[in-house]
Amino acid sequence: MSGSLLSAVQVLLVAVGGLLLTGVMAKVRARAEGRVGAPVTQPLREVAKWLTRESPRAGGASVLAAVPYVLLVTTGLAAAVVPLAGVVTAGSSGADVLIAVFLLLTGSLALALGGLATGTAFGGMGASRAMTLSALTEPALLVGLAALAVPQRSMDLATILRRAVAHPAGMASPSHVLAIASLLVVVIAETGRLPVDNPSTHLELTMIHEAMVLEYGGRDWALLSLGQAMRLGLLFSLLATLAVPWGVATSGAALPVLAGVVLLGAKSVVLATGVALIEVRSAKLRLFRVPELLAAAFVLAILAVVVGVVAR
Amino acid sequence: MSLLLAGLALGLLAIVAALASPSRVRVALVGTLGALAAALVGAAAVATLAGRTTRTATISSLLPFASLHLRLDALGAAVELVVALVAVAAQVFAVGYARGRLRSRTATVLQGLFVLALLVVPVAGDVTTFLFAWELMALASLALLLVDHERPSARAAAVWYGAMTQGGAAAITLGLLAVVRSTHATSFAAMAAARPGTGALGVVAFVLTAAGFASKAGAVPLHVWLPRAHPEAPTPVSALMSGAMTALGLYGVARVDLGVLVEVGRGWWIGLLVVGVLSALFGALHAVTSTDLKRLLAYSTIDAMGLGLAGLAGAGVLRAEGRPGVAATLVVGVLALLLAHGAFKALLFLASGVVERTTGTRDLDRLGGLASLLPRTTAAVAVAAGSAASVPLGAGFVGEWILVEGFVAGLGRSAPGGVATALVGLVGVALTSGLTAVAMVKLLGVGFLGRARAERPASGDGEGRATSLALGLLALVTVGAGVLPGPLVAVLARAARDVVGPTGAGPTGSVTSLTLASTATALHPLGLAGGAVVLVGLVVLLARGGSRVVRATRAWACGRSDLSPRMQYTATSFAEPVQRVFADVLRPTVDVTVSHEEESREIESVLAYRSRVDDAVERALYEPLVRAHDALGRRARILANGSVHRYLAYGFVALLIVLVVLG
Repeated sequence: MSGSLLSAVQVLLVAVGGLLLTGVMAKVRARAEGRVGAPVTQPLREVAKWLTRESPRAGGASVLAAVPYVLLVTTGLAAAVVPLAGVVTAGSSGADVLIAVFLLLTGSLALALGGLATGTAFGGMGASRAMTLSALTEPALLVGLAALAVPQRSMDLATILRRAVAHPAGMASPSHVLAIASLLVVVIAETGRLPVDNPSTHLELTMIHEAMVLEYGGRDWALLSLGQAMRLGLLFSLLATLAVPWGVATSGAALPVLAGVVLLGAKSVVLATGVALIEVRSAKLRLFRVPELLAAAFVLAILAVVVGVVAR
Repeated sequence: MSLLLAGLALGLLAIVAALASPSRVRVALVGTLGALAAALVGAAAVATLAGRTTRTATISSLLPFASLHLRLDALGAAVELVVALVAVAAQVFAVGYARGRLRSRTATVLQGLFVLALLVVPVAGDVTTFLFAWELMALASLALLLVDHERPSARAAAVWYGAMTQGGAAAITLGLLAVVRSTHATSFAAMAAARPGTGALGVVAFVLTAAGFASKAGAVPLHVWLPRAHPEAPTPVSALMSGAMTALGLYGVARVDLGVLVEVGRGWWIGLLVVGVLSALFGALHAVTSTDLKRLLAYSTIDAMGLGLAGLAGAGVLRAEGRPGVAATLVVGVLALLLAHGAFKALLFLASGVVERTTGTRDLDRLGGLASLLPRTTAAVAVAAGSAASVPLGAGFVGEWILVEGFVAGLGRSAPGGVATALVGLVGVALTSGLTAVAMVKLLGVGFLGRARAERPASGDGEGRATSLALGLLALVTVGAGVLPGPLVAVLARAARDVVGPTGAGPTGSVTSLTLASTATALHPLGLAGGAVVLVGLVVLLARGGSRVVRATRAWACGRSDLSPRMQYTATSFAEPVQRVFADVLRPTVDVTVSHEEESREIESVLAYRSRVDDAVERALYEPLVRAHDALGRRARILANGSVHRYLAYGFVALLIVLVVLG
């Protein structure tokens, strides 16, 4: 299987998988709270439905129309370059840690600009809060990924994964555990889940992410939801892959890649279930307590680097 | 070399033309000549970088006492490229922008002098030429700051700038004299070959030159002049100061401290690294909270230059630890950052001039909704802000990427000092990158998107042909260097080799890719761009499958019908969460005044909220200094009470002392 085909598979996987993971998390939450819940495929159906609806646009119409495109393209690019189901190309593949980080950041920038473009109080409020949190998650994400990179002597995610698969003992190292813990907090914050943000809130004043995207509707909203789901799918599957790299196909043959896809799905569902259970058991943090949580994640990431260097 | 000399001669001609030409054609003529001069010098820099040849020239009759030594090597050429780019854009911009006093003979001559001095600094081959050009650059920009001398803020900025820049120049002069003394050479090449020792003289030279150059690059705590002077200068001068002059500060560190004072201990470099990281954080935080468009940009310059300083200092430490490949990577990162910063910061400063000309204000709290009024400017600002926030495929990302990779490479296989250095650098870059993104979203989102927060004219007459051309050129360079960074980095690696010596594992670049051997990673920007095009196509297909009906509607207002532009988030409110999170560092002054109705204490009539973020360093460090200085001046007045007899007595006593000493 060639590199570009694998990339296409990964983009599709992250798009559909992201929507399904959102459904899985809603289902787990519902079950844990004693409800039946909507079927797992509900987000998929909703996006398909919204796609056929007309798009109402208030202020900043041209920016609002462009934001979902930027979000989808940057997230899709990240899903295409980052190794999730398989590592095909040898050597330095261009799947650099920073490319992934800054592609995700570009999506956040677009969302925040969209919030400000509406010229409403809610849009600005959401953008301001989201950017503040993004400014604090960004360093934890960067340093956390660097902590995984340092022991493998490469910032190329493909090389990192290949070397991690070859030497599985490294996964039990304290540095690895600390880095994954910090990245888990980052993923929760970046996907806007509890305790950082409540994705199902309907009270504008407590919203972070939802306030920023309040003005989207119809087809715009469908594309934006798809983008957000892809973001979630990408972050979850990347974290799952980095935490437990077994199963990542290191050759281009069809069978290992297929196994990689299946295992990736299984790992991501386990992670999503875990995060959903955290959500059930935790209340939303006050906005100005969240920086403390993110600072803790940042410190964990720095510790991970230090421990990794010292233990060498 | 002939290209360089032709360019500099044309620069001189521009100054002569400014003196001689009538006011009707002056600005256009001088701007065109100046832009051509800078373009020629830029071409000379490119030729040097591509041809790997160092060229020298001596002009003996221009200066009294000494001859002018010019030397264009790879490092000089890399920085010269930045200066030339900013100079071309600023001069083209000035043709369309200059009004009123900026068109006067004095102002145009000064601008020509400033640009010429900027262009000479990176090609100065010896200490005399360097100091001459450096001082000319400082004085010309100081005088340009006073073009608007009616404004008290401009006068105050000029005082601060004058004091700091002259102090810095004095430190640099003394430091360079110390180097000259210990090496017995005056040309930079001979100095580097002599390798001055580690003795006290070397340390003194390092501290003095580093302090002087760092102050030019706005390093904390020597930055206080920068957020005053850059906003107050006329717009093209702001762009030159921020995009080119600060870069020359880092050039000085690379040339003298990294290139000549090779044997200085690691401890001093680690100190400089900490200064760089702190400057970056300080600048980034203040950029987030500033509401004046140009002040925001000035603080963001401190941020970028702080990162550059940290990169150079990291290179100093890691070279001392025997990791020249990593040091070269960091130097290349800094050079790429300087080029990217020159392009996007000059663009943003020039655009802020357009905004101020159109709306009459630079206050972000009163701007908004400029996208429809100034569409070309907004598009250019979006490109520049993206580059500043390190969006992939922008020039800023390339510099940031190489810097981070350099620091990560420093973490592996280094001695403890190197590991600590790399960790501090990595944490610094990581923390600033997020904050820079917030500042850039604020700049673009609050300033240009949304709805207008104040009354304004219906047409964007500030957006002329020449001004848009300048912005377009800078935007093109920003995108071009981001999509095709390979060739650029390949030549910058040559410049880095000039500084840190021959290396095995520096960055390498081809047309399609950029490879860093030290962290076994690569960037394929063209592939990424191709992927982006394919994905855009796919999303368009997906969108076309859905509904294409768009309905204009009103924004959600919680059921109310009136959602006035004043209800939008302003720049201040946008930055409030960051200001609150970092209150310990920023120390904002928040003042809430509540007055009550006469009938009842329960009913509030007026609620006034004031919040300002002053420069904490300035308050803590400089205010006592200025106060002490003032007090000393007042005390000294006792000596001069106006009595002629007393003054005569002073003269007599002085004469006696002189006679005693000489006798």
